[in-house]
Amino acid sequence: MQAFEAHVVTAAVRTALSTSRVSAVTAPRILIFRPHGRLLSATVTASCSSLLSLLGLAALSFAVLRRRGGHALLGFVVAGFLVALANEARMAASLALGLEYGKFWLVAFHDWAGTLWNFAATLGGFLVMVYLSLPSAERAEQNATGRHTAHRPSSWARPGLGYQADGEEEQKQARRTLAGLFYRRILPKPIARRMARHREAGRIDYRVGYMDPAQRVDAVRALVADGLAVHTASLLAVASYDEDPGVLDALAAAVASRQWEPVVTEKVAAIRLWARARLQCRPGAGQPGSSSAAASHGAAREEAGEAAPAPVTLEAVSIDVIQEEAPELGSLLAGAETSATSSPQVTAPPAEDVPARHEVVAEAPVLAELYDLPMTRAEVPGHRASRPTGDPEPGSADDAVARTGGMGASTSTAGTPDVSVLTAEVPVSPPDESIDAPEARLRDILGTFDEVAIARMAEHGTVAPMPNVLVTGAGGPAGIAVIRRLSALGHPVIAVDADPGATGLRLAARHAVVPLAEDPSFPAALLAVVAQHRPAALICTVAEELPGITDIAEQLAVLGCATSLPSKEAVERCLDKARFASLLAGRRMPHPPTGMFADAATSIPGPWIVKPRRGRGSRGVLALDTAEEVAAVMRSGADLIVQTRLTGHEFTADVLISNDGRPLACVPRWRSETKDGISVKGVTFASAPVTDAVLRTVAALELTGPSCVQGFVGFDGDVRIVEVNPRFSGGLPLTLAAGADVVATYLAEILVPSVRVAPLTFRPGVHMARYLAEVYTDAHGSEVGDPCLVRP
Amino acid sequence: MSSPEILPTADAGHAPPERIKRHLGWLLLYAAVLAGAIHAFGANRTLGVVGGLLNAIFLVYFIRHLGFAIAAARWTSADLHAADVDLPGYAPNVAVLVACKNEELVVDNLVRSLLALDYPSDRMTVVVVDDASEDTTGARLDAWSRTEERLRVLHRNPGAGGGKSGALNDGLRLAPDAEVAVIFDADHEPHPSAIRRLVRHFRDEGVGAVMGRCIIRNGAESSLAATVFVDFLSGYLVNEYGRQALFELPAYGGANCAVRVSTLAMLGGWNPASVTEDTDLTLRILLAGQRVRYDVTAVDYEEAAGDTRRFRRQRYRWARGHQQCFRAYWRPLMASPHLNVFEKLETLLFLLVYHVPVFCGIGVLLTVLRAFHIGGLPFFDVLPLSMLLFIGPLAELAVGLLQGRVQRRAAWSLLGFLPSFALSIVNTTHAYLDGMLGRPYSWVKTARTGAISTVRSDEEFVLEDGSRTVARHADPIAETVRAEGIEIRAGGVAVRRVGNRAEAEVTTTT
Repeated sequence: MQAFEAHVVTAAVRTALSTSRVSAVTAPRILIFRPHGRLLSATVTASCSSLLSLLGLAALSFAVLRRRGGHALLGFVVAGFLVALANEARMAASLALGLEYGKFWLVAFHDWAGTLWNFAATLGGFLVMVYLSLPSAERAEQNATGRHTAHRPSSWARPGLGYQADGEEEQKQARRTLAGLFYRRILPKPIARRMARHREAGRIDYRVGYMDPAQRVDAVRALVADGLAVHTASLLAVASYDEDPGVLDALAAAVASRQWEPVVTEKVAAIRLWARARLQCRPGAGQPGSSSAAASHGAAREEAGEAAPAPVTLEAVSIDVIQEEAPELGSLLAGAETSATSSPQVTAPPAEDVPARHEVVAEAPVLAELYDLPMTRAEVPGHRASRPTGDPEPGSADDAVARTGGMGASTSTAGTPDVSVLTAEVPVSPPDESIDAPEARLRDILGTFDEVAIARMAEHGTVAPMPNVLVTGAGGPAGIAVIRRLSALGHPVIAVDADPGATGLRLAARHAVVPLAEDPSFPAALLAVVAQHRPAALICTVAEELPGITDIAEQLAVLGCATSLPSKEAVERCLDKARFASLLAGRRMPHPPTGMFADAATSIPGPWIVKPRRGRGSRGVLALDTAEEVAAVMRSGADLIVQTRLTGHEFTADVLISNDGRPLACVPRWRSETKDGISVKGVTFASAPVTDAVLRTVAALELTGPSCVQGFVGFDGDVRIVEVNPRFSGGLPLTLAAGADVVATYLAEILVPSVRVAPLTFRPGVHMARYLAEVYTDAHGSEVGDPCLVRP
Repeated sequence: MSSPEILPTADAGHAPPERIKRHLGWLLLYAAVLAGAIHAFGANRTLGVVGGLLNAIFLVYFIRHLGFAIAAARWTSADLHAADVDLPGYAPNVAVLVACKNEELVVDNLVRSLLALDYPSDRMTVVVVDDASEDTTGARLDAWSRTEERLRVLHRNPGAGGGKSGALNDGLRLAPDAEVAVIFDADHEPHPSAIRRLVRHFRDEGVGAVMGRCIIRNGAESSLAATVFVDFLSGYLVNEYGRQALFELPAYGGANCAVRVSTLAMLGGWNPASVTEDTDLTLRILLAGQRVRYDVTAVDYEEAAGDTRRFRRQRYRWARGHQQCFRAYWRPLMASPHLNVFEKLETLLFLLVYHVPVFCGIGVLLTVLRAFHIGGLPFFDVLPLSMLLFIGPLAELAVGLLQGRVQRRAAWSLLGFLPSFALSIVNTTHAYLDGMLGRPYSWVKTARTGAISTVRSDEEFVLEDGSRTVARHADPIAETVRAEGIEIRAGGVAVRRVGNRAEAEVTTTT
């Protein structure tokens, strides 16, 4: 190397100075013929060469800059050329000085000035190499003084890449570059595409982070559709930084659908692992209906005539789990089948009526079992083989249940001789052929599930945790009942109420205080609570809160909180008692005569009851006996209505209507004794006229979800409906105790909207006597033990 | 040097100031050995041996620098972009401590930043110690404390002593429930997530302290500040990172860091006798068998010394304190049962970092002498001296720029390290001689300029003329808005509207 460099130098000097007084390199020497016949013999040593500098630069480039790939290589080539050139210049200058001024100047320049020269050249070469290896201003995160320059969404921002004050972010302009023209115009397309794919695989596409969630879902699917190996860095960035559950679910599902793709890099493996973990934690995530953002986006896409992504089945998204856990899953299903088969109440539609498996891909089987959820049998793989053959015996209990569509009093435990008659007469909607009768309560299935399969799955870490549920109205009896039931099912509950002292707040795993429903800040406050605790579902037990929650349903869904709410119109029909009365009168449904004016008492039979047009519980309710009193009260200016005071037996029916309008439960109970509007003693009963009136009323209101219908069975046997509350009732515990788990079923409807839940049964004759219960906390809010609690 | 010259006391908050110890005898011994060797073996041979020994030392540091650079080049980027694991899931009671002395230019920005930290308010107490400030620092802090319940202000009397260590020890007493103390300096502006990122490492019971990453925010102020910006990039993204990646021995740095209160109590608090209480604490934590961790994503922004005088004073203090720590702790560290051989070697190299420029000065001196034919060639000369001295640090700097994704123009700023290297030789040698001669020195704070302090505006006001301006929500200085131009007043501070929201700024009028 040093001889080669010396050759180049001597040739250059001879050419430049047009002289032959400098010899070519002979062995390790250069002869310099000075004037007057003096001869200088210069020895070529290692110090004459730039080899050491070049090796140093190459080592640095390889060791510390190689992540910059082509940039580092280009930097090294340019720097090496410059360093070699500078060394040639040093040698040439040394020879020229020796030729002109003699040995002293040759040595002085070569050894001393030349050393500094070489150092400067090497340093310069190093700087050039670093310069070319660093990102250009357009792609850098910060400028030379440490100010943040990246156009990066704040949601994706990682701390530390440049100081940035608010509003300081610089907007970078795209520009045309020679490299861009080269890629677009000169390089053959296949090569350009291949290089682009390679480049993209390591580049985070910050533009995604600026989009709204629905657009991000679209973008993520488009990126995945290009191939996991093409935009891997961007996909990993979404997985790492994005906080929107809908977007993450969409990414996980999209990744799950491309498991055929070769794992060509570690990043692809990483995104696969991430998706696996995501889907294990959230079974069914990313599938249609799992988030509003994804769902609405999919709908929009379909409207636009675009081909929607292929639905992802559970087998597709968790294939790794299935492979590993196949024996356990097999035993789980076998257990379920055994239980179902052994149930005396099983009735099944003909095999041809069972929907094909692909029609129910949206359901999450594991979820269904966990929620004690009677469901379409086709959801359980292998069910077809386990169905009993033949119809139930005519006249048997199974037959009765089958004829009622499964909704009505259960005969198996009724215990009263007329129950079966009552049950048989319950006139509910005709049996849905696509639904199995609730052969056994899912409790039976759960028993097998819990003891065998869950234990095994938990051992392998494949059991998803029970979803968090947010319950509003934690201070009311309905809220408390819902909280207690969900807690009993194992759901972590986040309780909210406007009263910081509400008892239900102390019964839940976590709690928060929100403003009253009438407060304009209620929706925002609730959103904040959801954003903080990220419940999977919300159950509202305060009717007045429903309109506000409906307004923010989409935001809730974006935060991963599913809801199933009645329409605002239906809620308004319930809350406005005048409108409610008008509706029922228009439909000629049984309802007490109602008026809104001061002289109404003249046309409405007495005695009367006056109450606020929009009231809660029994607040502001007056029982009046004279028309004068009614007129006086009605003139008070308050927005009141007057009704005939009904006589007879007061009842409440807990009703649950599915998302598609099917009645799932109707559990009437006598309000044997009430205190402050709350039933403290009651008993469930079965009555066809009552069930008929209740369900017709709810249907007229177009209500879905839970509701409680209050009315009277007069001494003449007529059923009159007084009011409907679009929420769970305060006497809900009795309904639950009677076997109709409307809470778990409603939750299942929320979490898996597409599942078809079979109607619930209940036991008539279950009595409830309520007493006060206490919750104790110390000054710091910690639980204080109940002195009266019987401990095992 | 038989025993540590600085031993923290149990009541470190009121420990006596450092008893300056002279090491004149050692200097004389070095000189006598050199003179004896020259006499016995001749100057050329002796200086050749000295040069060879220096080359060997430089080679070790060259390899160390290169190792850090390679480690950082390979892994830092992935660490910077790694997803967080359960960041909010661990939140012990935290005391945020800041010692302030004459910090009126930066204290408002500091308090704003501290109050904006993302941490449960019931588990965080902010304690700012006004260490006998002679300007409006105390008054500003009092104004803040009237509106912010989380803020506790401690005013120390003049002559309370102990410098920053004394202030921090006193301040910690105002947060008796704290499990972790997080320390910032007054010119710092922590990223909101900094505390969560720092404290997450205390899940490991063996961790005594955690260091975060400091970034210069006023690089635009001067060319020296820009150079310091690059220096910090390299220092935190490469050097500190490499120490953790290769040896698990990062250093606790005195600001943007956290220390377990129980560890602190065990060690007797910050050492008021040390001018670099951070290095001192690092070493005592290692001696106690605990570890220091480094979190490259726990970020805060600080102000660089933007002029040569302040820069020189700051680096002199660092050199003096670090050399002091070497003299105090090298023996017990080498005998520590908690460190293996490699860790002891790295710790020794770390302790000697501020001696290396002194060695460089000697190396340059030997080179110059050789030009005058004094001294022989080093007996050990694997690589040219220039390469040994510069390539390692330059490689670290280059990787720092690369991992910081700094635009390529910054490469030329590496030239600024040549004069700073020369300054470092002079400064460090000065500190070394002062330390050996026992010249008195006490803790000296670095003056601030407050030049880069921006209002993080989040509240918009409508002015009387219908135009709009913005001011920081809950900022006590933004209580009233009277007119466009200069006129939000409280506590002697004005908000000047200069156009639009982004350009609103705070100017001090004291």
